[in-house]
Amino acid sequence: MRLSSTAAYGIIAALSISSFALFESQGHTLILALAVFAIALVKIATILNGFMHLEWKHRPFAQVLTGWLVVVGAVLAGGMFALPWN
Amino acid sequence: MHAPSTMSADARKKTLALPGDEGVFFFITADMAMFALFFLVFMVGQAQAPDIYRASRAALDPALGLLNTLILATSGWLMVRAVEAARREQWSAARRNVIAAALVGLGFAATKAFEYHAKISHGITLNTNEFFTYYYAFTGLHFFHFVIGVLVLAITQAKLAAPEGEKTRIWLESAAAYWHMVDLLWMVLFPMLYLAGGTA
Repeated sequence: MRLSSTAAYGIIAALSISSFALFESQGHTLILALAVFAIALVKIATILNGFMHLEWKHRPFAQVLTGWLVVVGAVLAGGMFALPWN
Repeated sequence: MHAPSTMSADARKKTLALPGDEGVFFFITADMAMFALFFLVFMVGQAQAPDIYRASRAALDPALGLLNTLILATSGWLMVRAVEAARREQWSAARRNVIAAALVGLGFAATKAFEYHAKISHGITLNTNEFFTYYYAFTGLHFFHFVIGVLVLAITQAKLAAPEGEKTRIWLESAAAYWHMVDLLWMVLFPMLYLAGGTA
């Protein structure tokens, strides 16, 4: 299923503002950092689907870029777990 | 017994076709792989010197990062509208949306110029520390992609002034895919540099 471009835009804008507001209000914690990156990955998935119109049938690019999302998600999460948090 | 498919070979090929040129998607994939390595390098550096990264991050203004995120998202949305108009063969509307996408996108350049100027005037440069080396290198390389994107949009609007059907549509879809990649990479750079990881 493909998102409409306007719905995708609304989701990306709302998530961007939410992650910023979350960061500004809640301080700096591991959970917050992971949440901010999770939101970023959802935004990327929304761009791939709602803006780029990339669907699963577009192999191999859809599969490779989904793999990219997973790898980058793991790198970012790993980087956060490696930091000292109070 | 299965009913014979009513879809012609051409229609099936069109359904499976990428939204744009395959070569452009190959470039996008390779470029994104390179940025994934940058993210890894940054995360390793941050894990080795968290205090430096946190103190440095405090010098950045996340509100400007958010503004740039919204500018790129708006510009990206206008590019999708251009592609949708071109698929309906509404070439003038497509051209207007490409021009609007480029003009909105220029707001990103203005914000980035303001941000770089503010940092440099406070003596924060590429050589200040490792965090700022990565900050300037990654955002600078991303900005280079942005500049190429603006040039591509300028060429695209010129092509849309004298459209050549399918050929112009594929060009536009490819330009849009590249422009969305610029947007997409910023979606990681913004939280990685400005937000997550904490400040001191």
